[in-house]
Amino acid sequence: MESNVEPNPINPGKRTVKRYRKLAIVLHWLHAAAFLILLFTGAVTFFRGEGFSSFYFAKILHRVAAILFMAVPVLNYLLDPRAVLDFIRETFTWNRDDLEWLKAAPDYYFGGAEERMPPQGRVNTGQKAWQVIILFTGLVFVATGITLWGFRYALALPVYQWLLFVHGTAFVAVVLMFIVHVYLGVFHPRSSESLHSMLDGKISPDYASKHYRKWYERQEGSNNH
Amino acid sequence: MKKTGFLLFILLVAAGIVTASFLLPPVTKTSSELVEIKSNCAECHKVPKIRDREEIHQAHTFLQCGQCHTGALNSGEVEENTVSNSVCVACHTKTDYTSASAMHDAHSTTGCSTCHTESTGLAAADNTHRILRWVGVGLAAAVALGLLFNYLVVKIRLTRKIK
Repeated sequence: MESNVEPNPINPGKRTVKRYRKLAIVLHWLHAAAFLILLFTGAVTFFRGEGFSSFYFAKILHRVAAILFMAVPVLNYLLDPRAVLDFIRETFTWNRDDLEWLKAAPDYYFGGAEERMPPQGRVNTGQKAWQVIILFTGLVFVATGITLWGFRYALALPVYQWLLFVHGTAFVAVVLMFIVHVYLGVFHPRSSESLHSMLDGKISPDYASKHYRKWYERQEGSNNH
Repeated sequence: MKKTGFLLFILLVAAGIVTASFLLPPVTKTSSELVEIKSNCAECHKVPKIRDREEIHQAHTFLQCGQCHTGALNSGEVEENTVSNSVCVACHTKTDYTSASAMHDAHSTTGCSTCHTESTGLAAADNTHRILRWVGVGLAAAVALGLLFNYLVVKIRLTRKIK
């Protein structure tokens, strides 16, 4: 198995732990770019409401971004099928530690003691919840979006309208989680290395141990054998 | 610094998209331009062949036959496409078409409440969309305020711990 713990080139005494591969980073930001475009063009039409035929630019951009949004997971599967299957498996693997995490997280994320947090795997429970939302709303967006785009003439008007409502509900749900995702990934004082890890793929052993102890210990174990 | 840059980038993308959506003109065609481009209205406004006569006739029961069938009808030989574009455009006019197929463009001269009634289900869909819109705004504002509060509390508690 490939070692994920490697020397830090700036400070050789301090190791860095490889958390994300380059492919995962590139695909994450590609997907994020598509998501942001979809979010803002969707918001323009969502709040405009009636008179959907205007905002031609937003509508076209929304559809272009939708193709990219759907293409990235497919591309990911073609280039690294194992990573996609692992992602799905870890998203739906919940155990007692997740329950403990949910109990301890409010205090921890409000600055409470770190020791009370149960050990976590490659992603913590909050990240799993985000992944569940991404997968679920992603499926809803794709199913309703393709129908609204490709089959709009075959639908009765009320059906079309209600599909828009379902699309909009998924939009609200994912926006709420997205705000939390950006905050915890970029701005929360305890997620100091999170954004950086999505740029160079590395975190410090200390950060890995505090946030993803079970995963880190597995990496250490594989490195020692 | 990276965080500020990241936030600024997202804000710039958002501002760019929203501004472009409002400012960029749609691809517009006037009725006369559309008639020039297409030789026949039916090229875009397609009705399934098997039903076209029936549907078109049902939709125009308020007209006299001769108002559309200006030539062939009187001779007794009514063929397909004997109705010229000019006959369609005489009634189906709109200054600008942003999307020829959009429902709202096609019914721009009709009052909203004609179609958006309880019986069609569209009024209920409109109301739920309106509620969803405000629920979405409310929840997003609550989450954003909650996270701002969280940030301040964490900063204070962690600073005290370090001291």
